Amino acid sequence: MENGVLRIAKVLGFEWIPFKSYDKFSITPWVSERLPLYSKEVYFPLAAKNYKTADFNFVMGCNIGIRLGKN
Amino acid sequence: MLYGSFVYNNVRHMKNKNNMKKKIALIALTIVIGNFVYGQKAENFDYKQGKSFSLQMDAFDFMAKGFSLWGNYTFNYNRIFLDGDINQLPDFLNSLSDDFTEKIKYFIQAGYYRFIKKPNELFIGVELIYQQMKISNKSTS
Repeated sequence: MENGVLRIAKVLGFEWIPFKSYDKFSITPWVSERLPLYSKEVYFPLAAKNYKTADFNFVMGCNIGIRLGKN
Repeated sequence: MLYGSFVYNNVRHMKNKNNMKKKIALIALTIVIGNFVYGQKAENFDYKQGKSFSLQMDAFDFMAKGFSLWGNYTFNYNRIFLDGDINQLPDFLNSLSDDFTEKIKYFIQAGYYRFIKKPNELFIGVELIYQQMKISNKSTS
């Protein structure tokens, strides 16, 4: 079954440019704490419990980026 | 005839004046918009003081059998972004994860980042995320 969830998150990150000779390339690690704005229970006819997406969601990522443009 | 010509000339003069005003307004608007879009970029060769557009991918999504594409627009200390993503990351923090399996089918997020000290280092931000989850019951699936 499918379920839509809307979340809002605060983020902390750091954009790192490892090569000064090629500053178009960046590595950006970030962490984010996500809180639900909209999340509903999903009913399963054959299950004893309904399912609700977690209220708290802690996520981290690491973006690898290329900057476009002349400068 | 002379009067008619005078009126016609006045009307034409007014029309020309209005057209001229429109042209001046259009030129002024073009300069303002052009300055906003390109002005800082031309003055400050260092992109960190100007504007830039970048494409990013989240390396962690590859680990979660997924893929993401981020479009970032950075201006001075500000960055706005739009991100589309699919991955197979289970929601392992959920207390019901013993009975259910939940994976992200796809998600879309948009956000704003503010660089703290320098435009390319530490930042804080806020994101708004819509996630379409796929849920299955372990006992019945």
